[in-house]
Amino acid sequence: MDSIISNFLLAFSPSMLCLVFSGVALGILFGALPGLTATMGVTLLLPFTLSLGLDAQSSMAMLIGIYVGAIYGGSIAAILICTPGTPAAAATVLDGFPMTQRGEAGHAIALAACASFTGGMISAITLTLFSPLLSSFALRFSYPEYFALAIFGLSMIVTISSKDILKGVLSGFFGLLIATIGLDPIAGIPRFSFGQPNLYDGLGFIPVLIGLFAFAQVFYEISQGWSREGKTESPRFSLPSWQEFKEYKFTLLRSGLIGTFIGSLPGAGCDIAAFVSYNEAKRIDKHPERFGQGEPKGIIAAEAANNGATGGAMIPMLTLGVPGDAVTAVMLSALVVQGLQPGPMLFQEHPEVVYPIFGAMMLANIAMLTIGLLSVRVIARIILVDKRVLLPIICVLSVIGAYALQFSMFDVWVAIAMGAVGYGMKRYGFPASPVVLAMILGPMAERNLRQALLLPDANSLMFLSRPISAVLLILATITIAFGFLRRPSLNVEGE
Amino acid sequence: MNTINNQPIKPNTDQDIVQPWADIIIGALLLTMALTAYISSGAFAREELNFGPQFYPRLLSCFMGPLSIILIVRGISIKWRHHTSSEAHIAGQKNKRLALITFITLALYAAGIPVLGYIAATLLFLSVTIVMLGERRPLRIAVWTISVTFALYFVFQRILNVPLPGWFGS
Repeated sequence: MDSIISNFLLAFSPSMLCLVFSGVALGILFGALPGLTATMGVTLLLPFTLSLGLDAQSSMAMLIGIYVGAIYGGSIAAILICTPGTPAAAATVLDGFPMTQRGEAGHAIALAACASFTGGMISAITLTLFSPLLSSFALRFSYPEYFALAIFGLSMIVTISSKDILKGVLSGFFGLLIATIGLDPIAGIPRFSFGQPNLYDGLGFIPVLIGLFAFAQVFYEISQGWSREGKTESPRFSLPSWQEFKEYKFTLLRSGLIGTFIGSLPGAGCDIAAFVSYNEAKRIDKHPERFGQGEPKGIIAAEAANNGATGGAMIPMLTLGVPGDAVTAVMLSALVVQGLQPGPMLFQEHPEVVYPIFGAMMLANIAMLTIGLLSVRVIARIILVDKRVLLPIICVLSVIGAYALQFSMFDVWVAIAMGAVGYGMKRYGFPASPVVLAMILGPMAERNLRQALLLPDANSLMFLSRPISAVLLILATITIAFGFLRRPSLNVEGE
Repeated sequence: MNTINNQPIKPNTDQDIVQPWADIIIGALLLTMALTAYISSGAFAREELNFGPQFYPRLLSCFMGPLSIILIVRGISIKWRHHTSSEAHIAGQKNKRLALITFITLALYAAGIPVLGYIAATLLFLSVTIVMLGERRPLRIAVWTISVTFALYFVFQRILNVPLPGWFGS
């Protein structure tokens, strides 16, 4: 117990404080700039945490800072210019922008910061208290269970592709197939490398992410055209009163818990959490008609949930090695690059890494509240950077980000090629998130499926006769059914 | 028109709309990819091994192929049932051409880095792209181009020890 506490307190050392605070500041910047997402921020900064020679816990502390900061930062653009800085802030627009129109932008941003802090702290406490329990449960996992877990994670593709499930599933298969490029994980034989040594290790995950998110977004922004409408003055600032806190305490608590729970489901990220929480707040409230008209509870519900999902998403990443969302997928690769294998054994083998991560999560939320409340004026000005300048700068940053991990121009070309693919996907309604989810879970699914089928007692009912894998496969089936039941009708061009 | 708080709801972007021809073409591409993966996995197949290296890619192809066919059939069916026009495309053609030119410029930038070095290539790329995207004030272009190029060079090369190619390539 003493070692757990001492490891936990490592997060509060001066060097970690600096890393977390600088990570949060950068994260808020990334989140506040429309087009720059938390995923992109973590992806771009990951190679640099490695090149700084940071150890695993310091690197993770900085990345957590970026993650927490970016999810909050997305609300600033959502409130000020009606453009969610990140997808997670999409629900914040609904009541945030009407508050700006009423001249309450500063108050709306302060509410968002306080709600994000509360949701984030709820999730950080849950992460600290329940991750060890979940990890001891996860120790009962073998090949069939891990395969079923990968299938459960992949089933989320249906949920996150609600606009068009067929396209989402095809995107997922595209990701699964390109994840097979490189050496076979069991026999060590090169696959689809076409004699190109650069492909023996497969397509780099980070260049693919940079291509699908950063370059694709740049091309898409340009192709859609842009305007400088929505230019705004730096908002004045007023903190929420104690009376308001008392009034909103149940919304804060409920939204933080909803966010933590949804974040902990592999594949369901901050954006889904925010919308579910917003809907719940609206459903339960005595005056649902006020939502969408600048109701503070709307901002609180969305922001407490999306930051609540940050800690939730860390739970499956650390305990099971399954990312909760795209950002934790990158963090997962950060741990792997450091030579660590997230999963049940991480808690036993590397407590010096795990517990500082818990501490860093809490610290990041404190830093987010502090910086968030102090930096509104500066951030608001940066949002106004002309996209004619901003988009080329994103391109240069992305090129360096793709290059920096392995000092490889091949990775830059992969990123550019995936940028074109990502643009095409975005343009024609194929979501990019399933590709990312599939690239993470594909190798896990393949390795465990093949090894499970090679077990001496392997049979066709093996996955259903073992309780954990059966439950996971049933959950996957329910998730898929739920996704189909909620699917909207398609809009057809020309109608 | 639908509104929220008397503000008009933004119309759907083209990513929200099913475009039958695009679905048919992309479906065909994905079907080709699935078939190619299935067939070319023969090159590394180890039939003597149970569930060898070819097993999983072929399994994926078996799912991906039929799903691609469903996408193609759905596209054909929508095309058949609905009269679609190309007017929606025409308005955005100019911007899409600009996106294509940006892509080509980015590719030239990546090709130029090993030859010219990071600094020269980035100065060129930034100035050309900023002008291309519509900025015309020379001082503004120069300030952004030079400050960003050297700030990034200083941060990554000097502080983060990322060995970027130098003035004339390194």
